[in-house]
Amino acid sequence: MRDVLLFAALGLGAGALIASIALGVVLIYRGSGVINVATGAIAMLAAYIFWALRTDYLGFQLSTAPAFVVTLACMAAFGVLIELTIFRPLRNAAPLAKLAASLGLLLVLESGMIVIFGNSLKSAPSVLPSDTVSIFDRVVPVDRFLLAGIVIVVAAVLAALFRWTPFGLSTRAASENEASAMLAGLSPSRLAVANTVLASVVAGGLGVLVAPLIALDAQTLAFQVVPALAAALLAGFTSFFIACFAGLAIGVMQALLVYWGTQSWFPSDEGGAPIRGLPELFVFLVIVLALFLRGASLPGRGELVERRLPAVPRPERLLRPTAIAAVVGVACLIAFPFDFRQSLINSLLGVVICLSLVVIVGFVGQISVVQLALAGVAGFTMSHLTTDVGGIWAEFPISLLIGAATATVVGLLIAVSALRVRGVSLVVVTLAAAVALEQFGFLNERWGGGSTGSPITPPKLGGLDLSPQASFRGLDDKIPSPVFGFLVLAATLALCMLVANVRRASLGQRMLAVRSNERAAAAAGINVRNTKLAGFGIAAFIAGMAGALYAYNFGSVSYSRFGALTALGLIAFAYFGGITMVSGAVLAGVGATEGLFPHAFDRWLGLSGNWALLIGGFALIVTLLVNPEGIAGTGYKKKQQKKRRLAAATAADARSAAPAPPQPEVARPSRTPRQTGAVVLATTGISVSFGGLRALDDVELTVSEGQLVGLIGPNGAGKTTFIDAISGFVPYEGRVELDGRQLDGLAAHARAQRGLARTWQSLELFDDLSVRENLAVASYRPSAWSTAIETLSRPVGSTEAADAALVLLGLDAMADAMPEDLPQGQRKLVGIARALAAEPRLLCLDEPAAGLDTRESEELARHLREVVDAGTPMLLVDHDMGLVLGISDYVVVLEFGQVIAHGPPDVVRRDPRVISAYLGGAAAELEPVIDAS
Amino acid sequence: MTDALLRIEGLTAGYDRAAVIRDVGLTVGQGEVVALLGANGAGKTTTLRVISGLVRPLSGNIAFAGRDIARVSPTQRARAGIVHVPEGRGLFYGLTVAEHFRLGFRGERPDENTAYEYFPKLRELRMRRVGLLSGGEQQMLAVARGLARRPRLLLLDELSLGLAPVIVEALLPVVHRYALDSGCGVLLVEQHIQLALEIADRGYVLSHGEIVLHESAKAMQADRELLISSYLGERQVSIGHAASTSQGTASESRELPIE
Repeated sequence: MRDVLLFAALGLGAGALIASIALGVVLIYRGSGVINVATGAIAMLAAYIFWALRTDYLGFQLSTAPAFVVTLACMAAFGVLIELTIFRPLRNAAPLAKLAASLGLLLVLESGMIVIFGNSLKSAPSVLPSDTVSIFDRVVPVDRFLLAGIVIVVAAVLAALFRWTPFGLSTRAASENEASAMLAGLSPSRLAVANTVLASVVAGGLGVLVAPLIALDAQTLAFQVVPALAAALLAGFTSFFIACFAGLAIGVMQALLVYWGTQSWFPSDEGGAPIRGLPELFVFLVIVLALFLRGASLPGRGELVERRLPAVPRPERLLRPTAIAAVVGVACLIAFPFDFRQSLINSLLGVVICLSLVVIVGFVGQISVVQLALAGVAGFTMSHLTTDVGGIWAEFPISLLIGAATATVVGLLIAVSALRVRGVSLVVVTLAAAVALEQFGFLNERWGGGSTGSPITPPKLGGLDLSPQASFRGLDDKIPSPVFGFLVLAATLALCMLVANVRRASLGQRMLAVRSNERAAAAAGINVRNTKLAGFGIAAFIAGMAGALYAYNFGSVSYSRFGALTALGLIAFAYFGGITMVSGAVLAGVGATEGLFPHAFDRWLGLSGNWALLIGGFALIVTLLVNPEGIAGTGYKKKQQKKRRLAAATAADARSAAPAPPQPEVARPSRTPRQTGAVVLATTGISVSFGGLRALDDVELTVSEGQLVGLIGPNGAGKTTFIDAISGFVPYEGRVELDGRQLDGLAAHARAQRGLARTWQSLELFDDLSVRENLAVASYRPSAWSTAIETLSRPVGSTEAADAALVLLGLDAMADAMPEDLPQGQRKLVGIARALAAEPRLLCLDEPAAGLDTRESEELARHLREVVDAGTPMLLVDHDMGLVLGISDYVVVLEFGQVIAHGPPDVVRRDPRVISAYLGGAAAELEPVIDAS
Repeated sequence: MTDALLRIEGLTAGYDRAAVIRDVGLTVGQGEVVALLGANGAGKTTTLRVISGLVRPLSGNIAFAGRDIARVSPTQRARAGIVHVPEGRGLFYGLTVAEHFRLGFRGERPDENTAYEYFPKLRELRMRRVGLLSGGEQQMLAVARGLARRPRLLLLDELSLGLAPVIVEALLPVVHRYALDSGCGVLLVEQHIQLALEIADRGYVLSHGEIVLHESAKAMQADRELLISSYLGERQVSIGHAASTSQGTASESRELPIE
């Protein structure tokens, strides 16, 4: 018992560091909305600066107090620097971009410290008194308690600052809603700088104090950000006190885990030592728990997000580039000297792992740090097959396939637990998972390779040696053998083609739709969850393949190849190359660890691999700021701009020409109405409440075959809410039936699949897909099996229904244009065409005429009437009374959530209640004017 | 008029490079209450957001007190005295009523007492968090805070939204009184014509993003047919005074000319 308390007390030291980094994370988040994963590295920077000032490193030496003050001043300056150069320019970027930038900063600081100070442990000078105190007959250093006390005081000061000072008040306001804050005369960007400076000083100052207790090296302090993120998550990125006490508690818990490791009952490893990595595993579980409890989404700030994620072009030709690459690759493998041959092979491995990133980050749009660790899982599985199982299971290709399969399973498990998590939260989870896998999995003597690594059976196929030791040795007759290179090259090319084909096939289109806009994707009938899982699964499989090939490459697997820092470097290079394209992965592979670029650097300039990481970190930041498309993307963009200008010009010509005569004999998405007058949509008793507000109250509405029903009402009457309710985006009471079948309880995408299509007031087109692809993805709904087949062979392209919808709405001339190139009126038509391409039983339109000028809305009215006459019943919500009253067969009027009138348009138009609802005046005065006509 | 507090000319603006308002021009003078009317989706909110700086225009000029403010950030415009009470009320649900009056940029001291003078009910609610107030109380706070900041130009977006008419009929005269007392200009966006015209001096009507009518408030109140037709989307509305024949002829619904 006493020992427990002793260890707990010792744990307060580490806990204080975690708590202080957590406070820094919370400060930066509240001040600027950025989750800065480099906060731990900032603490590390301060510790190094202090060390440099206290020893003779810079040529002079300061005593403790001045060194501390100078360090804090440097940290403040650093805070200003990163805010102004990195995060302020990214203020309007997507949250993922900001997070990626902080990953880049982490990489720069990490590798920078290694480059400048070397990787050896430094003994950090202490600041606090090193007295000890006697507790329960044990001697405990008093600094632990001091640290805990200091951190608690700092948390209290911050809480008070935010509660009572004008600065805190302004930050609270801006963190809730940036736009309103600007209207109030506050400057959110200045507040962001101030908070970042404060965070740097707090984290830095406490980093200096804690460093003597832990270790001063480039990694330990920086990666304390992972448990700090756990504490910050528990605090909801808001409460300073919770972040502080959670941090202290995690530190204590980790110390206790170490203590229990010394007990005899504690599960032990091969060599009798206690299992490693439990503290990291514990932190991972805390993070998952915190996300589960707190909910997966973080508080929004109402910022004006302008910049989107980079584009994902559709590869047109596969065979020719592949053939060329194969020929070039074979030639280089044979001709290169052995060291460049090895680095070429390493680069190919880098390409494969970056392909995994292309799928998960580029296509699905989620940043995952755990891909490299999944490669490690494959590698270590294979080493187990070699040492523990043997026989045919350890032979190529079975062991490789099992390795890749295991990686896929683990990847899917992580994906399932992270399904409800998206965006920045997913990065946090995968970062924690990567660290936990490294410590708990790979360093483990029994499951992983321990600290030395474990061997792999070299690959042989039917007597032919395919390993790096094969007999054919290339031009200079040294290992690695080009034969192994051919194996890797073949695998790389095959996987490149797979990824390119995924993009071209409907699966890739669905991933991009989900990446673009999850809501709209669900409304288009896409199963968002399964699409994401497919993306994670494919990415995990590719990562597994990379891991297997890594294992063959080095002949053994060890944890050092799969660490979190290397993983961050890969993400950096992948972004730089172009994370949405296969060619980007190729460029990134060149820069990967021990690949061509770093090797050349080393050979010709004498600069170590850490320099490559350092440059990679800078490259990532610069890419995010200046060139989000990456290098490959920029080249592609220039080529495409010409193409798109051409397509847009064709579109403009088609528009300015006289309205096209009715197309003769063109297949329309016509279904002869089954029975004119049969009810298609029947809704009764629909009620929706938001908090205390009753948005809809007992609304009843039906739509029959061949009918266009208009739903109108003043602003706030509940029209959009009604569509949101019946399409499954808002919970409601009541009953909805489509063709007599009940829809209640079904998810949005299921309703879409049953035939209920809708459009969106804010349009919500899939900006990453062309017009034709926008329609195809809504229209083509293959089973899982068909999807798999299509991905591995020829993509389907488009469907009849999609093509017919294009023709009906006059969009066939601009089918290959991107949505952002089209004028607003045409974009609206694309939204309608997309809903129509699914051949729905009912089409619900939400404010299709918003923002259109008079001519465009007349054209729209014409098209809508054509759609209904071609056989698709429609529910039309709009503010444009002329439009709705002009083309509807029947009109329902809402006010304050209730139906106040319904009937044919000319009856409703004259209804005094309707007029008064819109004009807000005494109906009596207006009646005589209307009745006179 | 060179002494107009706010002058907009040829303004075209929207979102995602799609124009919502086209070639809009309007002025607001000191001490004047101007109503900006129109059906929803016509572009009234967008117009206000361009004036306060939340939306950058695609083309056109904006001048405030004679100075061109096209390059001025929303923060600076707010500090210069343009107070925008947006559709979402622009409140912070996590802060209390009293904190809203303490919130301000350096050197600004919102006049809490004046606010409580105009809206006595708020004094009782000082310590309440705004998220817990009713819709009407929130709207009162939004307007009160706007007035407390001593605006030179007050932009009000749909005060009446979601409020019972009784409350709105109490709120608007307060705004009118303030404008008369302080000489600030008021641009009032409203869907409910009657209420707006009762306190306005002049009015503009926006339809499909363009100004289709500009009259004194009295003239607008007199010619109800014109207003109704602009709201019900009759296509015959034109600048100036519309012919009254439009209403008298067709007794059927006014169908759009579609085949």
